[in-house]
Amino acid sequence: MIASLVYRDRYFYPAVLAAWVLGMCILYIRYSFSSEPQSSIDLRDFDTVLHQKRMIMGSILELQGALTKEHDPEQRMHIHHNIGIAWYDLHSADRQSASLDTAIRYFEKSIESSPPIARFYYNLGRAYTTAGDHRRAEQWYERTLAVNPDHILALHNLGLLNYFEKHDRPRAREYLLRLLAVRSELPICNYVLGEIAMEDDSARNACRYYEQEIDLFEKFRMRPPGLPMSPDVLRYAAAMSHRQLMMLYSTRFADQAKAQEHFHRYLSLETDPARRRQSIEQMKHYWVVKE
Amino acid sequence: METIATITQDSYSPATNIWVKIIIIIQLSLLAVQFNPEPSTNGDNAIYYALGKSIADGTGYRRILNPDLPVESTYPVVFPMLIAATQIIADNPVFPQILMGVLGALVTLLCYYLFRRSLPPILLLPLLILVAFSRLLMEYQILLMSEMPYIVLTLAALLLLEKSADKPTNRLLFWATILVSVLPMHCRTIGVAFSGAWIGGNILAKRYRYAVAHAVLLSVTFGAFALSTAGSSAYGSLGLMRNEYDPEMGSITFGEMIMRILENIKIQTTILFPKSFLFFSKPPPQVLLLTLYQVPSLLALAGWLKGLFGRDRTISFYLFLYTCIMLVWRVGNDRYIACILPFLFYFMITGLRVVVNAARMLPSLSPAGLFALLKNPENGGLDWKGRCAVWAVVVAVVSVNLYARANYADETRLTPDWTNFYSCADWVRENTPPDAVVMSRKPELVYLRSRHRGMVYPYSHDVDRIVDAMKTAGVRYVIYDNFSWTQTTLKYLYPVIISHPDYFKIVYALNNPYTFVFEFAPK
Repeated sequence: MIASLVYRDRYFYPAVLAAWVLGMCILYIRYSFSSEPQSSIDLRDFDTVLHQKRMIMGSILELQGALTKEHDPEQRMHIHHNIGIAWYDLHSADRQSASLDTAIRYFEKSIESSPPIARFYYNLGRAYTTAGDHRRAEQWYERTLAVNPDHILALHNLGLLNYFEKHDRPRAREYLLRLLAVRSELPICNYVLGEIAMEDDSARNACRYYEQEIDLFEKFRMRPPGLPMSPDVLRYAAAMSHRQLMMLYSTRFADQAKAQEHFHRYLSLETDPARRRQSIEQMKHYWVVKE
Repeated sequence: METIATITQDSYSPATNIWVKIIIIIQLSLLAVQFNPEPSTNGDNAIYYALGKSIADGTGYRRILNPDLPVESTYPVVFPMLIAATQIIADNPVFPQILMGVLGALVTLLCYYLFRRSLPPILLLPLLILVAFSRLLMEYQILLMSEMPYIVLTLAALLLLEKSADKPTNRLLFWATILVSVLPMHCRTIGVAFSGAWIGGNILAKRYRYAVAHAVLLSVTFGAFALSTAGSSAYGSLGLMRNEYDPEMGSITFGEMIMRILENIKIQTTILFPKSFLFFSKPPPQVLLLTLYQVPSLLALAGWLKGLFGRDRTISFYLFLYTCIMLVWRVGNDRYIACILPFLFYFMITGLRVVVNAARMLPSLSPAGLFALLKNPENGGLDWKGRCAVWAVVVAVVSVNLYARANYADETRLTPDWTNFYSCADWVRENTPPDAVVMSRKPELVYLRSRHRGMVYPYSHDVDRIVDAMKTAGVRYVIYDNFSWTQTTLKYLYPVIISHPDYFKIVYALNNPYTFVFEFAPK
């Protein structure tokens, strides 16, 4: 029988192959492609990793390579813009003005041949803001709004630009109110509107805006609002709102309990030691501070 | 009517038969030692597996890893059906991979049955040794890819043709032959070359019914597949793209096609064909590539020429059509050559026989004498010098291949970029809802690892288009890889992330090289 198994192909090969399959199945029956994931590295550092020079330069090189091969004008426009974004990001990492100038050049090149695209205009405006050319920045933000009147970031930047750089309170208020009409829960806007109300001597309105700013900060401190806003800026706006409320409750509305509450919450948020000291000194004029 | 059997001898002998068994047992032993259950990183294996699972699950022929479950139209159906059959054992890709080993042994066995009529034992055994221990074929005997089933089907079709031609009145055998002959086309699209050669070869041999029945059955099955996939097969058009990984680069022009063909001729003659015979993982010096490494290819060319004049005409046609298709394709890699490698080895051996006999006739060999040598089906026996020459070539080729096989484990070890990528897929499996859609460069492998559906980012420079595609597909997580072999993530995905930093939040990160999982939450 063994001889027949060995010599006759019709028995031999099925038997050998079946034995091989059986052996392999026994060996690998417990095999699983999946395994335990490795431990994640501290996530706090990784936001900066993503914007590291090496990473950005790699992207720029790839995109420039794609540009040399691409002939379609529409795709070239997108590539130009993406290279501009990468150079802008590189400027955020290295603070070299040459990077920013290159970003602006690429943004302008992408806009030369493109149909009106709000994002393209906005990014050019943002680059001009960073370069300190507020006149041009405003011009491009305005063009962004001409394409998309509800562009949140353009409205936001125009509001802040008019308030902080041009000191044009009515226009700043106009943009910020338009912005809040599009999206009511946006941090920083209420703080700036509060400042404008203070300057217009409308304490009640100011108080309302500051309180809204603080509420939003509490809401978004765990989960960011989904906008490219630094958590430090949100914290600053909330701290300043507490500080202003502390002053208002100490002076205009004479409510010492509320003033003290805002004072202590202000202290818990303030990160600048000099401003902190100054606020404490200021408070000493109105009531005794336990240091 | 000319039949194959009329011009051949059968080199069966008990001793040869035993040697074949020994060769196959050694082949299976080596496969068992070199078997690596880790799926290959090319991704096609995972797509095949997902398609097989889709058939086994009764969800039709769909890419179940894709969020919008499209009917598959690019991958032919035969191999996924084979995978679906293995899922009777368990839902584990290792089982169909084991089946590939069985098919590898079948390739050797089928070569024995097919070529024993045209080669004497002294040439048949070297051929089987070459097939059984080829580094390139071995790779596909432990990978979940369609190469092995394809080779088995082509060899089986030719073998059945021989059997059927011997018994022309056996209808069952005839239809079995026709059925098997159309399967290569439904296993790999490039099998169209096999169908073309089958029809052409049978017409020239005046076996018209084989040609007509094949054409009819192929049309019917192809039509049925096209209808069931709504005629959306896009595989052919991929070959006409400038870059199938960047569709926005558009289609190729006539001039570019000519340049591509010239480039492919260069790659195939200087690298791919020499490499398929004498496997090298690192390119050897150019001087070797242009001299010594060309010897097996030139021998195969001589064998191919001889095949054109004799009983191997169908195989010669097949290799010719196959090579033509390879020339117009953008990426020429050794995967394509693996599918015809047993035939190339066969032609190398027959070419060697022609060369040895021609050498014996020197210096009186005239062009007419050479032509007669090519036309002569037998070429006479080989004297001891001829046998030594054959074995010297075979030993050289097999030694290089065995050396390459010994280093296989090192070549296929996962690199850190892949380790991190897989770890991200594991994290996704453990930490995200089962229905979360994951975008990555290799969604098929992420699916295999995490069982999460996914998609690859569109290869577009239009950032908003990518974001819209992500929103439409309901993407919730994005794996940002750091692959060393491709820069598409840096080119296409990175601009999206830095343009919309507010949409992406890092939830998992690894170092060396940096690899991330982002949560995607557009506002």
